[in-house]
Amino acid sequence: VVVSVEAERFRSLYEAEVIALLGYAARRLDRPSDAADVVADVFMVAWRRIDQVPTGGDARPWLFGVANNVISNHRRGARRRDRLADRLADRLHGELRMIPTSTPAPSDDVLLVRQALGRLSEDDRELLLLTNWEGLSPAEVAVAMGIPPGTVRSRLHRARQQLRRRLGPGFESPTSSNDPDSKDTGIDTGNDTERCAQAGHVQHSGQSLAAEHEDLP
Amino acid sequence: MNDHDVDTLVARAAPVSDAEIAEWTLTAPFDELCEAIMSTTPIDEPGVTAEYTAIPLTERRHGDSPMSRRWRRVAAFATAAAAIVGLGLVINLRESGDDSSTAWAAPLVEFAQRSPLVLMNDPAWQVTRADEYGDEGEMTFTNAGRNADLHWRGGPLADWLDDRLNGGIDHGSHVVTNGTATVVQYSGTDEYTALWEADGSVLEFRTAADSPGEFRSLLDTLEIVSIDAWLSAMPDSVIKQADQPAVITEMLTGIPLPDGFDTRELANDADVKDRYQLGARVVAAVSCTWIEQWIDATAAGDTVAAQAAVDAMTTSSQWPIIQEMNESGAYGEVLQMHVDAMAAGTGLMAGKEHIAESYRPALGCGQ
Repeated sequence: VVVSVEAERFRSLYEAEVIALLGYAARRLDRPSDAADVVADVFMVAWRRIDQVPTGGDARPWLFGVANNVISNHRRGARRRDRLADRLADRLHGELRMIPTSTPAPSDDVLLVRQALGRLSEDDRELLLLTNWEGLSPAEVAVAMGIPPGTVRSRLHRARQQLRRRLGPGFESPTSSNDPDSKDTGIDTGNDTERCAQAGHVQHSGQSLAAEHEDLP
Repeated sequence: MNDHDVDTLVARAAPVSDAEIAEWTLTAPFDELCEAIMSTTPIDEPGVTAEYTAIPLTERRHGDSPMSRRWRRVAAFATAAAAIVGLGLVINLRESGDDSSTAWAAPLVEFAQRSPLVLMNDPAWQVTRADEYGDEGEMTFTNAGRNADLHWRGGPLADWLDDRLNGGIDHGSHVVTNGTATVVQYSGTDEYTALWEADGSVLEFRTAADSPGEFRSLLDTLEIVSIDAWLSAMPDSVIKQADQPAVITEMLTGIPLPDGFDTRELANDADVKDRYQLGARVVAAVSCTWIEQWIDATAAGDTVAAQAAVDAMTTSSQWPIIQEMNESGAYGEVLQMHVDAMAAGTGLMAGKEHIAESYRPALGCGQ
């Protein structure tokens, strides 16, 4: 009975989160097949530790936290060889290799932002990506990164400051703006739905950055 | 540019959308993956899975134990009581009688002079990062995984205070080594910040603390030091200009150089660079030259020169400095996109953009 309950829970978890997890990995790795590796590894961990996977909304950030560790090991070339996970991932490789990349070629501005992101500390980069690529709320970011929930807003503010500096002189300090959004209040407004919608909109809008940021260095 | 603008930029830099991901799952047998995983026995194999889940989710989420917090507080009080020096930077240099600053390269001394020359007088807190952007700069002190940041920026102080007090808790003033700071707590958090003005700059010291009292005790550890002491406190990751030629030579190990490539230009850098930034500069100088050779040769129909560039750049994933940088950033990944486009012969990345349009901003050529 215990096993069937666990299996049912795992199946629900898998169905609910596989696309989000594959997206998380694919946005951080070059090849879809590598992303498949990560998905297989993470769900193997989740199945083996199903009793530790949080319930409800914390499950997704928990999986992202595991995925972050898996990817870090993957990049260091220190990934443990889990034969089962490898065999499972192999079943996906052939199909995923054939997927054409429909994403528009990145503009210079996008490459500039990616380069600046690449020069941030790992924690600063992950804060920004979890918020803007994965659409997580501050509370969810705290679960994914294992940091106190109350510090996410201020850490996020500092990560944005670091990114501005990496981007160069065309991106002024927030104190030069009267926009209340730029104020570092440290208060969670709870308006996560709006931010997720914004992130989803801009991610898929396909608008050119050039028109808005002609003063980029 | 406000926070929303920054978030917008980051969101637009996402390489692939969830809608495209959903299409992947339609064409690949992800259902089989789920069933195959569940066909295994759900018993943890500690050596395989523990490393992925143990790192942050318990220790970091719940913070330090009460015992470690008490110990940290006692240690902070025990090492407080830094002297109030209150001297300007130039005076400090001249009156110190310490001419050891002449041992440092002139640009590095200039960098130090532009900084507030403030350190935490507590051996447990070590400088782990220092950087400078025009007239602004920042450094990070680390103590057993706990960070404290010191920023120096342009004013006016009132603007920064207005920003921090907008929703923050005002804990009043506190005398620090070179001024009087206003202490602010970020509402609902254990994050504190202190802002004060000194020598024409606005200084800000930020960290998490158990209480306003503990934060004030950390403020008390700040002291002004000599240029030599400040530069000596820089972490190993900060490359001092005097050391740059040797470090650059080491970073070039294993990298095939184009004919006539002059490595001496690489050492002519007045900024303090951390190792990643310097590595990016070195790799960019070489890679951009090879890419330019490939672009020119391809346009001219010189297949020999073009192939030489391809042969050189296809080894880039094996360059020791790239392998080192891959541990802390994505520069190597961006470079590999360009290498793949060269090797394909078309120069097109992701099937559309030509590397001639992207390589300079993407790789930092000429910076």
